[in-house]
Amino acid sequence: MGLKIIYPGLYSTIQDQGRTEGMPQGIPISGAMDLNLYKFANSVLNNSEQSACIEFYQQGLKIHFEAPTFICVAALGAEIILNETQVEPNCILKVTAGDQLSIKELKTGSWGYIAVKDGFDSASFLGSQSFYKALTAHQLQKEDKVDFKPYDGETGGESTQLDLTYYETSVLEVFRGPEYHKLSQTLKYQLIHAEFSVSTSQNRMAYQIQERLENELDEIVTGPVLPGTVQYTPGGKMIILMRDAQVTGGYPRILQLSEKAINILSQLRAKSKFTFNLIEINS
Amino acid sequence: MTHQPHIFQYNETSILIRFDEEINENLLRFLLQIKNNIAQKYNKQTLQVINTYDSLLIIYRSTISNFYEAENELLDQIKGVNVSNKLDSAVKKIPVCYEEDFGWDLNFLSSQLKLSKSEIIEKHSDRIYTVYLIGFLPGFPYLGGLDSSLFQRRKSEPRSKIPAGSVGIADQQTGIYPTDSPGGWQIIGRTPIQLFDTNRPKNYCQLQPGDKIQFESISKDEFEYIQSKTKS
Repeated sequence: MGLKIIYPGLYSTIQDQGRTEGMPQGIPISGAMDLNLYKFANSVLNNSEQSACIEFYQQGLKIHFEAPTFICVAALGAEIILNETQVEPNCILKVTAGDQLSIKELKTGSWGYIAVKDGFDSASFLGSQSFYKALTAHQLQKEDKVDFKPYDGETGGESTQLDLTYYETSVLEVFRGPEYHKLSQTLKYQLIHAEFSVSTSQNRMAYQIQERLENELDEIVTGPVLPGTVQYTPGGKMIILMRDAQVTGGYPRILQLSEKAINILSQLRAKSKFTFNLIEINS
Repeated sequence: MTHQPHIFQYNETSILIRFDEEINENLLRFLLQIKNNIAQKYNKQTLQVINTYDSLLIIYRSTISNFYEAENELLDQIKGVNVSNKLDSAVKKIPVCYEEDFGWDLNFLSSQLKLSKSEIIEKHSDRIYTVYLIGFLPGFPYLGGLDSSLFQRRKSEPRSKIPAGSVGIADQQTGIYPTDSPGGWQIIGRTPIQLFDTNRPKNYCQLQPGDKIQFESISKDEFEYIQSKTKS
């Protein structure tokens, strides 16, 4: 019992907070691209923090409910139609069997979340349901069924306001990466003072930066990387690793985004401008 | 030998230890010993410890509130390490079929390296390799110990799909694709063994850093036989 996917959108998956083991075996951490928005969706329904949600991309998706529950559609700006009525994002909605939920193309932000009461059920590997090819299903497809426990209680939780000011910035907090000290003074200056933009190459593994900075660093011995690591390629391209990043890499690691900066960046669309603000960790 | 660590806070919850040294098995043994000690002694504070050729990444359960305290704990661990003389693992045999259907780049390597195909196969299956790390893909082992006459750069254009089990060469390393994946390694054969299998929850990743392996040349008939037995 649960729901059926009518139209899956471009990149819909099941996500939770990701895996806390498996990296030594080459398994990415994965998890929701925007953990802040994911956590908000679950908190509205009084769910546990690891309750799996459906994550959808800019194109939205369409689903058909086959059981009753309460849901929260978390998104920065979304037009949501429940049956024929327009409803609000970021609040509690009651659904019953037969209801059709349609999320139109997002106007702002890149990733949204559908939480249901007590989370979706799906195959779990190493303590997480997060989709990753080679471990679980890859993406949600048309006609796929996603299970959840039917719930017909009186209320679904307590509506709280999503703090949108979290996203009202184009400044990404970064720490020095392991190879930052190898950069010339000029490059360090440019990194901190130049305005950059997100390229069209963005997916769950990485977001690329449109602008290039002339590179003078050699590749490094393959070393560990994490979501939020800014890699610097020989061609001067900068690649910001995201949640499905590989666990090792051979490009110099010049900056590291804070957890908050990863969430904010995940919602920036192609061509969005941003700057880096270099800070000390724990400042 | 004294090892000089560079200890660096990587993000809110992680610390990177890097040794600026030549990559070899001594360094690997030393890293794996520290990795084990940290995983045991700080089991409650840490989530996972990842090793590469010259580094360890330690991911803690919560935000590191006092880096210098954590750094000193790690320094104590590094100082107290007693490295055993050898990696005490038995050599695992991995069957590989080097025949035409699977050894896609053998002809290319043969002309580049000025070796016959049978010489390449012999040199590749003669050596005992060490698993240095698992990276790139779930379960992908980076194997050190390749005969220097087989060193070859990656392909300039990666292939869009390399089948699971493919054995490849890239620079000074050899490795095995555990799952279908795009990739740029020079492909010389394929193993019927499933190195990575989520249906084996306790042993989903067959190879671990420090393991010793050797490739055993098999025929296509043997390949198909082993595959039919393991895929049931």
